[in-house]
Amino acid sequence: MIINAGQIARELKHPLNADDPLIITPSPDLEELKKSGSASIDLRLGCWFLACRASRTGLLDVYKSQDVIPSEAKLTKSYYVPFGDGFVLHPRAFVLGVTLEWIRLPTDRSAMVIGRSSWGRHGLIIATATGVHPGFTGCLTLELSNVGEIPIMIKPGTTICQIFIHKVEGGDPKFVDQSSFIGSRKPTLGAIKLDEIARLLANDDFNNQ
Amino acid sequence: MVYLLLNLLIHYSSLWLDMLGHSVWESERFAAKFEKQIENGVLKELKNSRWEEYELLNVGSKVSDLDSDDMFVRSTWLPAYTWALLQSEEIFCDFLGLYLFAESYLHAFSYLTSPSTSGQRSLGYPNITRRIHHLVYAATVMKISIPAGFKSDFAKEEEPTEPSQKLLVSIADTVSNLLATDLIKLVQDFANEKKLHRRNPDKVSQIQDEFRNMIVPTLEQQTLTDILNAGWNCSLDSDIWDNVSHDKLHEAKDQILQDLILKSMEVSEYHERTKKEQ
Repeated sequence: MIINAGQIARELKHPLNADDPLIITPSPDLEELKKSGSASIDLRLGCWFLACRASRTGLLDVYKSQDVIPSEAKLTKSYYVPFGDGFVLHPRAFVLGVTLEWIRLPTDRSAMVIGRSSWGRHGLIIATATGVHPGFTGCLTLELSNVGEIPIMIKPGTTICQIFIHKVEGGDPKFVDQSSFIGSRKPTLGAIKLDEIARLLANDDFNNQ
Repeated sequence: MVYLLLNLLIHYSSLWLDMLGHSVWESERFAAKFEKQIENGVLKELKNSRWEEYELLNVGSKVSDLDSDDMFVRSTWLPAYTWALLQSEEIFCDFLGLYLFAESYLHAFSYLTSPSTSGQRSLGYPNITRRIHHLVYAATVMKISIPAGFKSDFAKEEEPTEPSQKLLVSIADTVSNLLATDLIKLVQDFANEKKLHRRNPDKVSQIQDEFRNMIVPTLEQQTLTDILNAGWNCSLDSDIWDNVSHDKLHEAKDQILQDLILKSMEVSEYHERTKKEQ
């Protein structure tokens, strides 16, 4: 069940559970939220960007041993764009951004982040819907891509995406998201982890037997 | 220089103010307030207490020569004046850092400089023992808590052994020592005039509680000093890090607190900028 923005505003002001609050910092304008009648909250673009160093990477092959895959620091370059400055996203460019807001979800809330249609129509796509699991704490990494024809200037502080918050039922507070994304204020590439079945299916030694 | 090690922000940021202190000292021309006092102090100390040692090093000198403008005579005691002036500037910087960053300045100071700098002390600084003595005295005047074991974190530094240098730095130490009270007052007057923020214990406590829960503070009005003091308190609170294995403790602390502190500063800037536009 998606929670209405008015209800979110009330939960931000008066957490349902003081030990497990919903937090968005800096806080949106709660009075505006109550009146909006919306089902989502707009989030702003943060100051950090992460771009791939294409010239250093011939192929991203996650099926190789993790020891062979270059580290995030080698694969990417980080950019800090202070308030007042901008980042120009050229056509077909892809960069990771981050929300300005630091978010904490209670253990009975999850969220989906999607782009804003006004930006999308101008070619700026905020990737696919990004799921945020209960208990998440930190800034959200955004996958920004310009699929339009002209470069787009984006500045920290701009409302760039929206978050829909859902109620999670039947969950156990003991089992919350403990992923490596917790606590980050910068965009992170993260590792693609293959499960055992995917590894078995991808193993070409089997074909040679 | 350590000031450039941004990735260890929690350890270093309080000491950035040391650099800020030098800029203030320069821009406010505070040195001019003390130059005559220091010169008189050096000459008085030489004449009244250290004349025998001076005479041994400068055979044939007369006490009355010290007051002359003869450049050769002046050069015999001028290093003491220069070092006393430089030491006074360093003491001012420590006091300004302490005034603004309170306990976090002492934690950062200890983290960076204890037990002492290796080798012989730098003559433009009070030796570490006197620096600590000044900091503890100023902290008492400014009602700032001194971290447990702070004084014992430090070891004595090597003093110069060359006779002339030994005498002159000892005079510089004596003269700059006498200015400590004046320098505290100078910092307090400057801070009051510029309406500089000091750390607010209630806000530090609130931010600390939020850091403990991995939350970037929700307060709209928080200052850098509140944030840094809360960060240091969390870093030193072993209960928070119970679940982290010992071998990963420093890395975890650095990573988590760095994220929380830097994000808090960003949020403070957001509030500051949006407040002005309202």
